[in-house]
Amino acid sequence: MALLEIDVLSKSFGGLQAVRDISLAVDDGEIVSLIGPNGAGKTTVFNLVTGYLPPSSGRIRFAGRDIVGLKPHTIAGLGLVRTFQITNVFPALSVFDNIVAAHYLKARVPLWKTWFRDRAVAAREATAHAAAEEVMGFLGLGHRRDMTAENLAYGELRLLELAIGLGAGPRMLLLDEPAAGLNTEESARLVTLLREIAGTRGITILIVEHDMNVVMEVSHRVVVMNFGEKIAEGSPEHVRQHEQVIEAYLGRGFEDEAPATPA
Amino acid sequence: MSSQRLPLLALLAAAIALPLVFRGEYFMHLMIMVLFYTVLASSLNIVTGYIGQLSLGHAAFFGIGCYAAAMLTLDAGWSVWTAMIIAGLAAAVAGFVIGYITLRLDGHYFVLITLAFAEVLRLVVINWEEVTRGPLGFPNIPRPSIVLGGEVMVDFSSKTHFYYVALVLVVITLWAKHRFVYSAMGRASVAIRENPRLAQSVGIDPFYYSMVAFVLGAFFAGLSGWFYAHYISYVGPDVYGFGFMVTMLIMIAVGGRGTIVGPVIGAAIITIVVEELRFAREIRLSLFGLLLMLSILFFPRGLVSVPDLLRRRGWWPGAGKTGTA
Ligand SMILES: Nc1ncnc2c1ncn2[C@@H]1O[C@H](COP(=O)(O)OP(=O)(O)O)[C@@H](O)[C@H]1O
Ligand SMILES: [Mg+2]
Repeated sequence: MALLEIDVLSKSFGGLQAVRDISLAVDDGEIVSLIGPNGAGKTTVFNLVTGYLPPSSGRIRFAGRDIVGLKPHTIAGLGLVRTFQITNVFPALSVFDNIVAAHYLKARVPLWKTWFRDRAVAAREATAHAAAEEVMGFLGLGHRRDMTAENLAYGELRLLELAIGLGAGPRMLLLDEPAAGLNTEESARLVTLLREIAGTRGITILIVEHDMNVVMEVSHRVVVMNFGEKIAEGSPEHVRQHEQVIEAYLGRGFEDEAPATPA
Repeated sequence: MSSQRLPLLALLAAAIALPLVFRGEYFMHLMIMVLFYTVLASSLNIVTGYIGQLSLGHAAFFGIGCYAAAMLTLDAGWSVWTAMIIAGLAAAVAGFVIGYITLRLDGHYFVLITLAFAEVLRLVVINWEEVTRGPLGFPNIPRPSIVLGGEVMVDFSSKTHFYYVALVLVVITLWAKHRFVYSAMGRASVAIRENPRLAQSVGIDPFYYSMVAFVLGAFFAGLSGWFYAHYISYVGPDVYGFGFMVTMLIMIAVGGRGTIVGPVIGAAIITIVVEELRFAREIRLSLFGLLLMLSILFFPRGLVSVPDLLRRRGWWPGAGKTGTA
C-alpha cells in the first residue's frame, strides 16, 4: 500500500484553479519528483498535503489515515514533514539551536514536567540533543554549530532547512525546491544526501525541483504538472521523452542538455 | 547556554545581603520597586520576548492581581497570603480566557484586542462602584503579617520585610522562567517567535504554547499586582492604565527581550531613572522617551547584549558570541 495517497485533489483560489483533480501515490521508500513550470501548482499541492491550506475537494491519506482537516503540526507529528520553497529557518538562533528546536517531538514532555523534572525529562533532552548532533554531522554543518542562522551562506542555509526537516523525525519528507540557488557542486552533494536520506535513513521523499540533473539522478518516478493538472507520470527516462512534457516545460534548453535522446 | 546562571546566583547573594549593608528607607523603597518591576516586566517578557506576541493588555492581569488582593483582604476579610494565591490564579484564569479568544487572531488584531481588554476593565472598574468603589479605589489595604503559634513574628512595619517578600517573588519568577526557557517548551516558544510556519512543520502547536506562555505571564503579573497592592496599600483604576504597560514594555526593550536577565536590568535601570527624573516633572516622560529611543538605537537587542557587542570589537575578553539564549 502507498504511504501517501492523493485522490482527485483540487484547490481553487477564487476563480483560479491552482490544483485540478490531481491523483498521486508515493510508496514507502520511493523518491518521487513533482515537476512543472512556475505556477503549475506544485507548492499548492504541498500546502494541501501538509495542512497549510484546506483542499477544495479530494482526499489525502498518509499511512492509511485520512489527514484532510488536520493541523500542520499534527500532520508533522504523524511523520509527514515538509520544507519550504522560500528559505525558512529560525533566523536568530544558532545552527545547533535551530536543529535542537526542530527535534521538538523527541524532546517534548508533559507541561508540568517543565518545572518538575525527572529522569525521563533528562533522558528525552539527552536523546534530542544527541539526535541533533547526529543530524548536524550528517549534513556537514558541524563547523557552523554556533553561527547564527541568519549569517550562514546560502548553500548552508538550504542544508540547515534539510536538517530542520530531518529533526522532526519524518517517515516522509516533502522538499520544495531544495536545490534552488545551489551551485553545481552543492547540488551534486544534495543528490548524494537525498539518496542517503532515502536509502540509509529509510525516509520516503516527494521532491519539487527545477534542477533537472537532480531530478533525473534521484527520482524513481517523476510526476509532471502543468496549469494545475497532472500531464505525465513515469520513470525519469519516460518523462524525458514525453512530447507534451517537453513542450510544456522542458523546452529546447533541456533537449540540448540531455544526453542523446532518440529522435 | 546556562552561562546566564552564574551571574544570577551572584546577584542573588548580593540581594540577600543588601539590607544588612544599606538601611536607608528611601533606598529600600527603590530596591523594592526594582524587585516588583522585575517580576512584572519578566511576566510580560514571557509573552512578548519568548512567544513574540506584543500583548498591550498585560497591565490588565497586573490590575486583576491588585484588585483581587484589595477586595479579598478588605471586603472578604481573607488573609493576605491566601489572597496572594488567588490574585495569581485570578489573573491566570483571565489570561486563559483572553488568550483563548485572541491568540488565534492575526498579530495586529491580537495587539488591538488585548489593549482594548485592559481599557474595558479600567472602565468597568471606574463605573461599577458597588463592587470596585469606582475612581476612589481601595485605600488602607492591610499589610501582610507572619503569625506563628498566635504570635506575630513579622509585622511588615519595616520596608526590609517587604524587600524580602519581593525578593522571594523574584526568585520564584526567575526560577520558573529559567525552567521554562531551558526546556522543550521554551525552545518551542522561541521557534514560534522566530518562525511560526516553520515551527508547525516540525510538530509544534503555536496556539498551545502561546496559551501556556500567556497564562504563565498573566499569573506572574497577578502576583506582582498582589505585592503592589499590599506594599503601596492603595489600589485605584490607574493600575489598568497605560502607565504600567509602557513602563514594563520599556523595561524589557531596554534590558533585552527574550532573555532572563534583560528585564532585571531593565527594571533596575528604568526604576532608578524614573525616580531620579522626578525633579523634571512635565518633561519627565519626554526624557523617558528619548532614553528609550537612544537605547533601542544603540542596543537594539537590549543592554544584555552590551558585553557581546564589546567582545565583537575586541574590547571585552572572550570570543564573540553569535547565538542568543
Ligand atoms: N495562497 C494563495 N492564494 C492565492 N493564489 C495562490 C496561493 N498560492 C498559490 N496561488 C496561485 O496558485 C498558482 C499555483 O501556485 P504554486 O502552487 O505556488 O505553483 P508552483 O509551486 O508550481 O510554482 C499560482 O497561480 C499562484 O499564484
Ligand atoms: Mg512553488
